[in-house]
Amino acid sequence: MIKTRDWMLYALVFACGGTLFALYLAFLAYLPPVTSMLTNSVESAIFYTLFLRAVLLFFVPRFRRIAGQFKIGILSIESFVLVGIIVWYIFTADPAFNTLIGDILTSWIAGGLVIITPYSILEFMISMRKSPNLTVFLTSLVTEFAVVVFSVNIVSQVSPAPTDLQQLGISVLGSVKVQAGTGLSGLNASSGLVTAASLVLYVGAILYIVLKHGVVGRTFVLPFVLILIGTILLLFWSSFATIVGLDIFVALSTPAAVIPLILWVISREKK
Amino acid sequence: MKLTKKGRDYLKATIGLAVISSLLGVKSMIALAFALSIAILISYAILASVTMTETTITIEPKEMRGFKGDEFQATISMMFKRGRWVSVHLSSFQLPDGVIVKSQELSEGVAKLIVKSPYAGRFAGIGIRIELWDALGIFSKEFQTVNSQFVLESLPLSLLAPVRATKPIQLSIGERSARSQGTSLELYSLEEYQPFTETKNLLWKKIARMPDERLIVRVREATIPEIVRIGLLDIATRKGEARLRFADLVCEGVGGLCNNLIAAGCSVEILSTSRELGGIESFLVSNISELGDGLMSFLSKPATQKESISQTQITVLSDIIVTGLLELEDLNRANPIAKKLSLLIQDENALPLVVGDRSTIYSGLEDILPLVSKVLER
Repeated sequence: MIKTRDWMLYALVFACGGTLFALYLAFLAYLPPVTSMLTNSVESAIFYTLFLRAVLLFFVPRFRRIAGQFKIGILSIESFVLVGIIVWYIFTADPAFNTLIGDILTSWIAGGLVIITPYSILEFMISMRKSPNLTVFLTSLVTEFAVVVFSVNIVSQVSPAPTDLQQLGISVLGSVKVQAGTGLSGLNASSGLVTAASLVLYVGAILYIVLKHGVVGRTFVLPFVLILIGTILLLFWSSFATIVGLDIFVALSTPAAVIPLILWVISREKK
Repeated sequence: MKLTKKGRDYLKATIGLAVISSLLGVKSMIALAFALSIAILISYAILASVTMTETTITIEPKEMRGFKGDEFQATISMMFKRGRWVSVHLSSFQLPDGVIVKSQELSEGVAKLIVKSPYAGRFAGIGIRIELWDALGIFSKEFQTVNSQFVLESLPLSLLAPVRATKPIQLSIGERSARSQGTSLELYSLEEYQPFTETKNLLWKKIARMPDERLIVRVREATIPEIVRIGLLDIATRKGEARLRFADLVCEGVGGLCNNLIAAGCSVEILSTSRELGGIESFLVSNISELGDGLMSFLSKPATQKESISQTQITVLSDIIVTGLLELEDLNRANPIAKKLSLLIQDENALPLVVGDRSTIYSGLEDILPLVSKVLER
């Protein structure tokens, strides 16, 4: 029999995962059908083998059990192939290999964005339910969120939309090359979709922390109240920063990182 | 104050979230990191403000008395100032050596203790280790407190042993009726003359009034001492298991002696050294309940390690000395004791000793009835 708390956790898993999937679908919506983006054999080979690898890693129990770094290796076989081709190109200086390197790299990045993103969102949802580790949850949440917002921003900014995987890969590389965070500036907090997603993930994360990690034997109320107080102080702080003309999110990142660090150091000394 | 395992994860997660979200520019997650940091800070401040002052520790019942091996239940509850803002856990209990304890946390700050002792004796004091967690479970804080009001009194099983009748010899002299025939001036009964009965006790006037020719004799009553004094001498150094075992055997031995003496009709006075008064402390017991009080009172005082006048006085005044074999290794002490009836507690580390018929070396199994008979025949 599933308890109320478990139902709430399942609801949170689906709310957070669903929000990330919604952004992923928004990303796909900007693109033509993925199969029509496979214009040559390299793109097709990379896309279909990547899809197959992701399916195997997710559904086959033997593959599911292997360590995370090996999973990354399996999904990144192209990078090992690229190393070999680069070495071969150094010795032969054949321009065909130069083209092949570009094709593989861009197709792999674009294919990864299309295939690895939903795979990692599903893994994130499973880890939300199973993992006892809060660090895994929060770091995964922020990276998943960043990736999907980054993806949807890139495709929303590129006009006309990429017609094949290589073009998509080039767009991604172009954005990353300028600055990691640049891709997030196009579809910013003023966008309704991102705002809604941010809100759902913010509230979902708080509820998840309280439900799964924040309770010490009694009720959920006190931890929830404490985080709520933090949120209210955040609102005051952001209002103050706006009045004095600070970049609030830059200003916020400092106390957010420093306060726990100080506490940690203090408590280690006392121990 | 220290970080819990969960707290380390929590802080790492918050720092990781703050750093990664700052690098990636995910503003809502920076805000979440900020809110979590504030929550951690408040939670830390609340826990840091909780101290042991104005803390109430209640143990119910404070004093427990029963026979050794019996299990007793006690409930311990703690009330902290600002206790609603933190989680209180009674993490461990430390009881004196010789007490076996099982604990079960009933609710937050309330625990049930099940204690028992395989030794007879008095066990006082309980050490309680309390662990406080903040509301988020990130930090923990420990307090150690000792409650000296908690007392477990474990009575010897010899008090429950069935009493065998001891019949004093007829020549015994005492102040109290032995409820058996003897040599006192008091009349015990009239019986028919039997061959070899003392002829001076024939009641000739009674015989003359008898309708038949039966010979009637006067049977006199025996007497026993009104008070038998048992002196307890605990002078040698014993530690740990040896101390527990010695106290257990003293209780069993004294319990057995008193049980039989009280059943025979005597009162028993237990003599022991008094540290506070610097002299002799005595307890007069005439029933089993008073005996329990007397024994526990003796055991509640620490052993006097130094030779003192009061110990010599106890040796002189007592009818039976109860002491250990270790005490007899000092010849100056052993000689006066050898002249008395004594119950000598077997000490594992003591040298082998040959004793006369006045003494019984007691390891818990020996029959103490001969000693009882001897003291009634004095």
